[in-house]
Amino acid sequence: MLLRSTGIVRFLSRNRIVVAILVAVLIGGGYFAFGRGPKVVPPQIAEVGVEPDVLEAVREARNNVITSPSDAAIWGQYGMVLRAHSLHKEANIAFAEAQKRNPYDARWPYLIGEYLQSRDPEAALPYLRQAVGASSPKPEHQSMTRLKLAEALLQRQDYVEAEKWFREQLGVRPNDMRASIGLGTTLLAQDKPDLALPFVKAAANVGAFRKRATTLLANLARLRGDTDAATAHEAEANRMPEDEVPPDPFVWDYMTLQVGRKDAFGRIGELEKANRIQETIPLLLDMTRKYPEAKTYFNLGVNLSALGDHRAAIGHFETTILLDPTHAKAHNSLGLSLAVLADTVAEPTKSEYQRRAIVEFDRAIELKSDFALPYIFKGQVLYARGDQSGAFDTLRKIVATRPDVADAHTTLIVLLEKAGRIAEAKGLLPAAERVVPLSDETFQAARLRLNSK
Amino acid sequence: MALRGIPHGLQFAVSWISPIIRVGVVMRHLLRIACFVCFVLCGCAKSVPPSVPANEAATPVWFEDITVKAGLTFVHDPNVAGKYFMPESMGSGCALFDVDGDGRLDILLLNNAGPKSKSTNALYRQKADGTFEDITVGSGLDFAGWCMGVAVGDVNNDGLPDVVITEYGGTKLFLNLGGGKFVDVTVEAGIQCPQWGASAAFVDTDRDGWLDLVVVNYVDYDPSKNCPAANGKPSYCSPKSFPGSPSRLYRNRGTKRTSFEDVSLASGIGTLPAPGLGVYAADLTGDGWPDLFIANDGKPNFLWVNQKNGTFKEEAVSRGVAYTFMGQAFAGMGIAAGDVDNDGLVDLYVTHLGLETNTLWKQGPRGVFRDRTTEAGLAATKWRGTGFGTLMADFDADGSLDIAIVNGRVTASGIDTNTGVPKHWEPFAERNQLLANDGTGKFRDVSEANKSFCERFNVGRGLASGDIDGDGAPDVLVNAIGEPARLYRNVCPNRGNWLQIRAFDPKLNRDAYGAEVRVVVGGITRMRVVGPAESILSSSSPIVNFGLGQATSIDSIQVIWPDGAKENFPGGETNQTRTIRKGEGQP
Repeated sequence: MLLRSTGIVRFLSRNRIVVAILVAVLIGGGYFAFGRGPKVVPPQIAEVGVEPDVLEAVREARNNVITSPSDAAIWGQYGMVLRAHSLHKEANIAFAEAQKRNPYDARWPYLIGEYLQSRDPEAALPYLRQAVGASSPKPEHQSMTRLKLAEALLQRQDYVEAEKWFREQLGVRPNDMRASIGLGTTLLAQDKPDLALPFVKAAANVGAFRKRATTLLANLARLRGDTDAATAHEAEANRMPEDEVPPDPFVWDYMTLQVGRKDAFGRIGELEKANRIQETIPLLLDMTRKYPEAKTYFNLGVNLSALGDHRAAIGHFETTILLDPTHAKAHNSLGLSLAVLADTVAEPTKSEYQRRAIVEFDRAIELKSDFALPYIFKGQVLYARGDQSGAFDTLRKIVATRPDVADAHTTLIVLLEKAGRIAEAKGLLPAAERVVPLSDETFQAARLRLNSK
Repeated sequence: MALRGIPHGLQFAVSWISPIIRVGVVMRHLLRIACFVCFVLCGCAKSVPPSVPANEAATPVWFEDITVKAGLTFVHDPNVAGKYFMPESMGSGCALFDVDGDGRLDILLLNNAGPKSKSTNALYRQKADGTFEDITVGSGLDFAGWCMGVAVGDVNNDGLPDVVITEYGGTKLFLNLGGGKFVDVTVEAGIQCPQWGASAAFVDTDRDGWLDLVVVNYVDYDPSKNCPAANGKPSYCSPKSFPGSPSRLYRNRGTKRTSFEDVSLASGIGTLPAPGLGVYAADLTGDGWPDLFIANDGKPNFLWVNQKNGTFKEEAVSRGVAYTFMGQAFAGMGIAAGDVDNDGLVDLYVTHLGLETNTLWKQGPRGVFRDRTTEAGLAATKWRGTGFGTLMADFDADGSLDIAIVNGRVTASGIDTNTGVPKHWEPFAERNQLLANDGTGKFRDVSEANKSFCERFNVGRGLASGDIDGDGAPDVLVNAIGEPARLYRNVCPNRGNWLQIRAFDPKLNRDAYGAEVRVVVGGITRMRVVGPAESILSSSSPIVNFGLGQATSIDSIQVIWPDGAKENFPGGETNQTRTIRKGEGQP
């Protein structure tokens, strides 16, 4: 009331447009003069020891920032390149700059929060909240922000809010098993097993969290005192492979930017996993030029021998050993390739290959006395050469040293049976049965034969 | 127009000006200012850290570093050769035990420089004045190797504690001949374990009166495998790069000449490979038979439940200790075990990577565990570290078990400099931690007040405890990679009263490993389990220690002996060390 009576207020209210322009000019001028602050220099990494490919990728991303310093996406891209190569400190600076320039993009606060979550969970929380509040490019990103926040809240025992976010996610995606198991866990933590059970059971039936859910069911049964159910669920959980949690889409985005040795071997590993061995050969040959290391030659040798090209493999194993004479696996693989080749040639080359194979197996054993494979292969080669006593000594030794290795038991039993030493072979069955899986057809067939004799 | 993320006041201002100002660029900048303000106000605001208890400032100092004063001169040698040989990063353990039967705790410190090195393990005998003399040379334990873990126990019931040392590449058994001399009987005794051994424990698994041996093996390491970091810099491999190894169980035949039978497969324990590091042996299911808890690195933990017939069944999943409550298999390393809330049940605390949290699994009902880390105040410590050695002891004798942790990373990600740690190890170095129990099983971090133990950076691995000076207060010994081992004397002022008990079986002529000792004071029962194997790679004193607060007398003592027999012993005065002998109590 007092202000309204003043002349200034009257002037202001009668000249709104002029005042507005003045205010805008003042704010705008102030912003240009001070608001932007000093020019932000993109962080530079300590380059010593960093791989050339990585350096090149980092430099390129950094130069983009220097060219377009006001572009949030380019700052973010720089952060992701840094993060992809574990250059976390610098990555977080870049993400913070990206967030400054575009606070609507969920990626930048998410990636800061995701990094902090395992280091300083309290500091991570505001960033994860911002990520949920911001927009995400794809629905799976939106889901991830909610789930990450919910899980962070669950971890710090904020059960009410965690439950809210899990339920919200289930509202959007009712079949999201991560949300289902999360909600089940949240309710269990609040000692509400009856409410938790439907969500845990849902996750146990389908999806990527079956093992975790079945584990919870086993634990719940044990808590109820239902030993039979606990045992059944536990056995089921133990039979399951580890849960393959779907990749975090934010993390996936930056992992695709990884370059260098680790990335190259990672790609080869993926091909190997998919049994696309042939496709790895040109890549590995290319890598022998870029990374002429024992690891490269060894992988090449292994994959060539898997394709049956033992002659070519032998050369690469020999190069591996030249580069690293203590490479026990290379000695073993060389021995194996020689032993396989021996079966394809006539005497005296055959004996010579076998002799060389045994030398390599012995060297592998010398380098790593608990390495089971060279014992097993050596035993087989000695048997093939007619040295039964040497073969059985070698195999008995590894069975005693590494009783957990199923192939050692199988090989020994099969060769004893072959040699007509039935009683000895039968005597070894009980121990072998404890470690040899039912899926081992060779062993199971031998067991049936022996038991019928 | 509603502007997302902009505070209401600022929205009003912008909406008032926007009809007038038509210059898009200025508008965009204005919006950016608004957003920036919003970001500063909202995003940068760190949430309030966990409240610090008012009595934080009054936290007493618990430890004094007496390494030099005590005459300990051991410096751990990891023999760094620049090849990032993974066993270098595992470090070595330590042991506090009475080597020569003079009633004083002696010290064994392991070294990790490889068999070709001159850096051997070191044995120190405690003298009457409390200082230590180096009796390494000629002790029989003075060998060099990639020595990792140590277990102490009397395998031939001759009254002298024998020693097992695990290595990368083998496990050795040494019989104590008396007078600080040991003899290697590995081969004769039938111990054949060439794998990478980590922690080990002596426990009478079949209750026949003879200590059996469990050796926890780590991974099937391949030294030719390189594991550079994502930026290409060399780094130590993660255990995930290699298959795990199964643990081994050796049954003591109890023969005149020490002899063990490898029952790894027959018992079941050797059938499941995993990257095991820590081991704790005690009855964890309440049936009177010792079970085995094994902390696995990055894989679900194992709880091998004794089936009373020479076999074990792995039941960690249903008993709740395989995973954290979030379903994660963290990098299990050291194990601290004890009853943190005095409910008569042993709880398990396992150290993990700094990027994870250490986990407290509280037992209850009997035989079932639940992850209660956050509820116990253990998720929000002052700082995080990659924990290796850890143990529970009542450092301030207030009647509840506290926790000590020694930390040190496994990747070179630290940025602290001038820490005094050797250059190669500096990025791995972290500070240790001490956590005080408030009496209800809830903990507060007292690390900052305990500068002696916690302020210094180190790559901590081995940690053992025992009362070295006979004052009734647990002292601690640390073996850190590449640095002098450190001995910390408990100097906590205004400590409560205490009682120490040696549970002894005269028929077996040795400490009753596995016995449960319960001390009743003022209606409160406190429980300890006799057994030196906890922490990681290390062995503590087998004498159990009870802090009793203000209590001046004990009502009664109950012992459940390893064979299941129960005996009651009369109470008495506090502040003494008593030897309780089997057969001398009331059933």
